[in-house]
Amino acid sequence: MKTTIKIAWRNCWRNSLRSSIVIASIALGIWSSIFLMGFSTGLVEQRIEKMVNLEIGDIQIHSTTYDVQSDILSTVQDLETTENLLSYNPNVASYSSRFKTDAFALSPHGQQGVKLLGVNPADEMKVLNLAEHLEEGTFLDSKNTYPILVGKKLAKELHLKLNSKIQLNFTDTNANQITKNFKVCGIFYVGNDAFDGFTVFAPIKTIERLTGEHLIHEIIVKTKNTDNLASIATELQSNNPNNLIENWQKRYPEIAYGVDMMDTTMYILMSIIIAALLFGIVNTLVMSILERKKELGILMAIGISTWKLRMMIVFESLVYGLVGGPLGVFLGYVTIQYFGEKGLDLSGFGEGMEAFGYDPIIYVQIDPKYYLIYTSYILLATFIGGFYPSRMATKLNPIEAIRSI
Amino acid sequence: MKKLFLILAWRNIWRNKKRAFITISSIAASLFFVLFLRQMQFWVYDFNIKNSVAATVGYIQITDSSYVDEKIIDNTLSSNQVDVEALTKIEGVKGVYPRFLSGALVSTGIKSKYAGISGISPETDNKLLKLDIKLRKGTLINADDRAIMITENMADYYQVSVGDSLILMGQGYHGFTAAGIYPIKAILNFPVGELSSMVFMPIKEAQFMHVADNRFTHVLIDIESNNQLEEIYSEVKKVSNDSQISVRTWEEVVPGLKQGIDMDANSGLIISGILYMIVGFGIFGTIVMLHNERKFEFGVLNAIGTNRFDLLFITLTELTILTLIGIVIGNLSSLPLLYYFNQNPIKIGGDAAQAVIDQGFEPYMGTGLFLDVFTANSLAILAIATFVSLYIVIKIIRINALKSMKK
Repeated sequence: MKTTIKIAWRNCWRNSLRSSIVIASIALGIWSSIFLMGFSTGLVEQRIEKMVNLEIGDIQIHSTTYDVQSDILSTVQDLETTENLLSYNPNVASYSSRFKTDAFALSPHGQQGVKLLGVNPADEMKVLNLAEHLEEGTFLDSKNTYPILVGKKLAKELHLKLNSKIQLNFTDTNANQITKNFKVCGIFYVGNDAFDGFTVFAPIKTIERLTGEHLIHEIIVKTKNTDNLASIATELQSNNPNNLIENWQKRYPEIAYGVDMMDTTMYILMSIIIAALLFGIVNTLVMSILERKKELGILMAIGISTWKLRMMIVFESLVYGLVGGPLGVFLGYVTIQYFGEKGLDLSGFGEGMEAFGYDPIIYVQIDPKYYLIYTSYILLATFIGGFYPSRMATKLNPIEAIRSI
Repeated sequence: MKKLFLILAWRNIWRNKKRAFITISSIAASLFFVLFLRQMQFWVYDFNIKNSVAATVGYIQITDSSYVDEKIIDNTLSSNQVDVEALTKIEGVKGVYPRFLSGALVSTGIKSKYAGISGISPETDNKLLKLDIKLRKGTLINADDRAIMITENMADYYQVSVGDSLILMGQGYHGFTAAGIYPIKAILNFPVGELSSMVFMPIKEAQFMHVADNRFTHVLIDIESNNQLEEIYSEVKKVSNDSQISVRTWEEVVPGLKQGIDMDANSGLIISGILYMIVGFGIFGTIVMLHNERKFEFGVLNAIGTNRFDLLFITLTELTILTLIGIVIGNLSSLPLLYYFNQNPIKIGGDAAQAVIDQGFEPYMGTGLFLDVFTANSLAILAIATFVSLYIVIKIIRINALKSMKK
C-alpha cells in the first residue's frame, strides 16, 4: 500500500506543469468560493445583528389579538403579571414596554404614515442600542413637553431638523382623533429605510398625557444568552397564556429564513464549484492514463493486481485534492481572517445596500465547520473522481497497450 | 490550402476523443449553469421593473421640479404644463398616464392608518394596473364615480367590504384640508409593495378632494422596453423643455431598486467569474497536454518546412472549434429549461416569499431568454479560451525543431 501511494505521488509530478494547473484550479476555486461564502454570511449576519439590536429585540410580547385586529385596543394582557414575570426571570436581561400605533405625520414639507412608539427612554435604551445610533440630538432627553425622535430618512422626506415641528395624528381608544405638534429632539440612523423612514419614538409619559391611559401594545425583551431564545420564549409563554410570546426568529420568519437558507446555499455553492473542478481533474487523469498506456500495459503484464492499479490511480486523483484542497482552504482562512478583522468597504454600492438594511462595510465571517466540510468534500470528490479513470486503466488489454506508442 | 488546414484542425480534435469530450462538456456544463443563473436573475429584474416600476413609478416620470424634493400638493403640475399628446407620439412610448398621487389618514372607528391615494384615469389605468385581473369584489370605478377601491390587505385591517365607507383626511392644495368620506366600490388584490396599502379613486375626485382642480402630481410614461430608456428619456426631455418641470427615469426615482438590482447582479457575476476561472484552467490544462503530446510532431512538421504560423493557425483553429462546440452545446442544452421556466414562472411561497419581498422584489421566479445574456456569456468563455491559448501561441512561435524532436 505504501509503495502504491508513493508511486501515485511520484506519478503526479512526472508532468509537474499539468498537475500544478489542476492543483491551482482547485486551490483558487476553493479559495474564491470560501471568500464568497464568508462574504454572504457576513452580509446576512450583520444585517440580522443590526435588526435584533436596533429594531426588534430578542423576544417580543403582544396580546393574542394584536396580529388579527392590530388596533389600539389590542394591548398586552395581564400587564403587571407579565412585567413581574420578566423582572424575576433569570434569563431576561432587560425589557421595555411600549405603546405602538399607526400615526400620520405631517410637516409643512410633506406627509408620511409612521409607527408611533411610546417608550420609557431608560428602559428602551437597555434593550435597543438605538441611542448609540443618533446622528443628532438626544434619545428623548429633552425639556420639551412633546419631544420626538425620528429617523434620518423620515427627516429627509419631511425636511426635519433638530427642534423642527411635526404634527402627529392618531386615533385613541374612543375613536377620537388626536392631533398634536411634536418637536424633534433627535435623529437616528440605522441604515434601513424600512425603519428609518417609518418609525418615530416619543416618551410614553407624553403619549399617556394625550390618551389619558396606560396602554402597552408590545414588550421587547433582551436576554442574557441569545443561544436558546426559542426555549426562553416557550418558558415565558407557558406562564402567560393570554399573550403571544415569540423570539424574533418566530416573529420575523422571513429574516430567520436568510439564516436557515445559509447552509443550503453554502452546500449548493460548494457542489457547483466542485462539479466544475471535477471536469478538470478527470480530464487530467484520463490524459495521463492515455499517455502511459504502454507503461500500464507492462505493469499489468508483469502481474500487478487490478485492485492495486485502481488504487494507484485513485490515489493520484486524491493527491490533487490533498494538495489543492487544504491549500485553497488555507488561503480562504487567511483571507477571511484578514477581511474579518479589517472589513470590506463596499460604500461604492452603499446606497442600495443601506436601503435594505445592509452595512456598507462587511466583516466577512464563516462558520469554521465549513473549512473542514469543504476539505472533506473535495477529498471525497477527488476520490470518487478517480474511479472512472481507474476503471479505464484496468480495462486496458495489456498486449494492445504495450504495443501502442 | 486553407481548407486543408481546417480539415487537419477538425481531425486533430478527434485524435483524442475522450479529452475532446471532457473539455467540451466542462465548457457546456459551466455555460449551462451560468446561463440558467443569469437568465433567472435578469428575468426577475425585468419582471419587477415591468410590474412595479411601470405601474407605480413609471419608466419615466414627469413632475414639477420642486416636487422632487418636497412631495406636497402645492408642488403639482397644472394640466397645461405637459403636452400629453406630443409625449404619446414619441416612438417607443406605450402610454402616458397623468396621476394624482398623495396620501391620507384612512380611518373608520378606532382604526386609522396612513395609506397612499392614487388618483387614476380608469379608462387608461385599468389596463396598465391590470385592475380587471386584480378585482376581487365589487366593480371597477368609472371616471365620474365618487367612490374608492381598496386592497384586500386594507379590507382585512379595517374589517370592511364593498358598500362600507372610509374616512380620508390629508393635506390639500395651498393649506386646504383634504378630507372626504367615500364608499368602497371594489376590493383589489395587490398583496405586496407600495400598492398593497393604496386607495384608488378617479383622478377627478382626487383633484376635487385636494382642492386642486386640473392639477396632477405625476405624469407616468410607459415604454415598450427598458432598453430604450435613455433614448426615450432624451426625447421626453426635448418635448418638456421647461425648468419648472423635472423629467426623471425610474433609476433616479427609486435608486434603491436600481442599486439593489446591481448588487444582486454582481453576486451572480462573481459566481460566474469563479466558474469561468475553473473552466479557464480546464482549457489551459487541455492546451498544455495537447502541446506536450505533439511537441515532437510540431518539431517534425517545422523541420520539414511547415511554416510556424500555419502550425499556429491549425492549432488555434482546433482550439476555437473545440470551444465553440462547447459553447453551442451549452447554449442549446439550456434552451428547453429556460424556455419552460420562461413560459411557466414559479410563484415562491412561505418564508422565502417574504424574504424576497423584503429585498424589494416580487415573489416570482422564472427564466429569461435574453439574447445579450447568451451572447455575453458565450463571448466570455471565448475570451477566456483565447487568453489561455496564448500559451500555445508563444510555444509555437518560439518553436525550435531540433529541441522539440529530442524526446
